[in-house]
Amino acid sequence: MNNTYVWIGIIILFITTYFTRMLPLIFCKKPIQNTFFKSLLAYLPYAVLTSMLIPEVFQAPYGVLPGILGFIIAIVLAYLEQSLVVVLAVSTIITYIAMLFNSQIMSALGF
Amino acid sequence: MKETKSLFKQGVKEGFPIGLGYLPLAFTLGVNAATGGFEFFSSVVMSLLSFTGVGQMNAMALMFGNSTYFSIFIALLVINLRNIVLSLSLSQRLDENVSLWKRLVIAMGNTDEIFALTIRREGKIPADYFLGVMSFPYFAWGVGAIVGNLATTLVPKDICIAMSMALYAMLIAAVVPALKKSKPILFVAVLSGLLSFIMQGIKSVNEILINLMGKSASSWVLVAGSIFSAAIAACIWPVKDAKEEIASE
Repeated sequence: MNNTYVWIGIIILFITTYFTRMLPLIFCKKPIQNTFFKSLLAYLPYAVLTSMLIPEVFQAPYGVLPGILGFIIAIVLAYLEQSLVVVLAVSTIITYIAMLFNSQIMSALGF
Repeated sequence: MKETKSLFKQGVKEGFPIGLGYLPLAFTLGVNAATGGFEFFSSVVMSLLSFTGVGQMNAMALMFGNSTYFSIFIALLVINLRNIVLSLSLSQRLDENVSLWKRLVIAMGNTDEIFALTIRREGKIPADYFLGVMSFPYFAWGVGAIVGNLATTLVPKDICIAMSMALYAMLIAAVVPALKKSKPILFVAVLSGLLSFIMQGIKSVNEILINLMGKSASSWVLVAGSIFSAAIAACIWPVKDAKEEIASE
């Protein structure tokens, strides 16, 4: 892996990341009129965000059980419309605590 | 002018937790870059140019594997397809008269998490608010990358790992309040989550997809499954007016 290779790789990463974000913001300023396309765009972000969340949230290095716990806590808090800081902080702390006891819990459950 | 300032300030405040979540992520990426043989300077420039965790992770994996430029380009393009969707949606929520310069900067900061936070706002998203939201996370992104490159043992590893939950919680906090208020969004979230779980979470199904489409299968699956779910919802519940309506239905 020489220097030129790394720099060209960095430029490719920049182009693919920035241009996919920038082009729609520059060229699609006008409100879209077509009802189907407008509806599609209104729903798509929620579909994308959910499919980025699942199943990755359960597969991160903190383990399956802490993942499920943090996931449920975050959903409950968000459903109760708690502030963002509360949702983030509580679910992360619970995940961390569950992580510390993960092996004990798993063996108690017979895994 | 005063309004500009207060919107920016409000954005900074709301974006602060994202920055905290990004610190360990940028840090981890920095550690990986340094251990993988990146020079300090190139690793930090990479982070500042590309405000994306998923993209950087994949780019480094591809480079460590000595992939050809063409395959790096195609893989990263597929991974970033979702950016087009998110930016198209964001563009609909910005005022038409937001200047080109501000749009160019906003494009830099439209990450998954920042997008997820800003769309929680009702009505149009003010450009200055968005700029406020992205400022601290971008700063934290740079600092995390620098620190990660310099020292690999500053933050206990367990805490870094647990903090990745904060980024997922960010996504949850964007989706859940919206699906509580709107049946179509509930439908979209459940269907796309289910599709994603089946295609990426079940090992045997995922292996078949990887055999068919190669390593970037999960990015294709993500985009295809999302478009499929949203298209069904768009047919059943067409949105009559601007985007803000569905959120308050």
